Amino acid sequence: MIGVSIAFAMGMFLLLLGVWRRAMVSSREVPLNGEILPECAQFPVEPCPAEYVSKIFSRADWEFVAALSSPSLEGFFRAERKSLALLWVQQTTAGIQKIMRQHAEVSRRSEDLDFATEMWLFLRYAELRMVCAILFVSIELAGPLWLRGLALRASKLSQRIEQAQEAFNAVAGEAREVRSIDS
Amino acid sequence: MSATFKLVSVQDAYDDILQRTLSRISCDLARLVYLASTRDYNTGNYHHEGLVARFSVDVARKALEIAHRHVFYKVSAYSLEELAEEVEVYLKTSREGPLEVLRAWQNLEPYRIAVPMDVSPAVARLFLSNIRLALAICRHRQKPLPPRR
Repeated sequence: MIGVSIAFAMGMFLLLLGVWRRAMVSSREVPLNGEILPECAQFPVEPCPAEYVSKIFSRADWEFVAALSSPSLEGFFRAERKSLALLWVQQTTAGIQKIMRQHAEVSRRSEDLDFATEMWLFLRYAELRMVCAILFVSIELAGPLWLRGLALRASKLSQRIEQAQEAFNAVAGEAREVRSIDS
Repeated sequence: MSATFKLVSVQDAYDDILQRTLSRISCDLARLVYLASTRDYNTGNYHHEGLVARFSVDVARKALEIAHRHVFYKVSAYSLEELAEEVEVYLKTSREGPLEVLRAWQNLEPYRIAVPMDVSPAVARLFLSNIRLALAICRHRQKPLPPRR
């Protein structure tokens, strides 16, 4: 019985790994030259506003395309939206990783860290990474059109972390100024 | 004081380009293409003779940059249906034949230069993707119907 469970778990793990790999390949399938890829972009250039995230994952455009009754247009639309959604997930992940790296650097120099703030940030970061991982696999499996709610959740989390980091930087900057005046 | 003056000047220049030029252009997509054409390919700096004559080079540049970003985000927020209509209006109002422009836009992708600098990469990608889709929809609509038997 334990052997079957282990085999099942391993099978699931390999399946997820396969889907993940496929999603990574899909997100790099750039149809045109000079595409803005996460690897070469400087993060955060400008975060994607929630309104546009909603559009990437919206079903309204799909319904319009489906009404045109053209299988080739439908296939084109699905491929475009899928690669766009995967790109957005990758950019969100890369952007938030950069923010957290910056936060770690500021934290190392800071002398009065607040444990509750640090814990809050870490938990939100972990949650966002998990949501992005789920989105990445789900987009590859089912496409982005069913995942608007989850994508907006990721967008909101990303914004909250960014705002918290900005507030933290401002407080850390003020503290440094006060210390330099005192000394 | 000088910062306030500069802000007012940029706002004035922005209003000026809006009233004198952009309001006379038929659709937002054409406005976007026009604003992108005021940008130097090599430096990314904007230039408009008329604006420079009334304001300074820097003020004109900033006003054009703001107008370009504003129109870009507006067009990027369009639904696919709205964008397909915009593309159709743009094709109809161009000096060349609509089919010729459509073919050139699909092959050469000149709309790529319409993306302003330093905008969100995801929004830029959404814009390019939607334009490609809108062009494909226009091409689909322009296909002649099969002859009746």
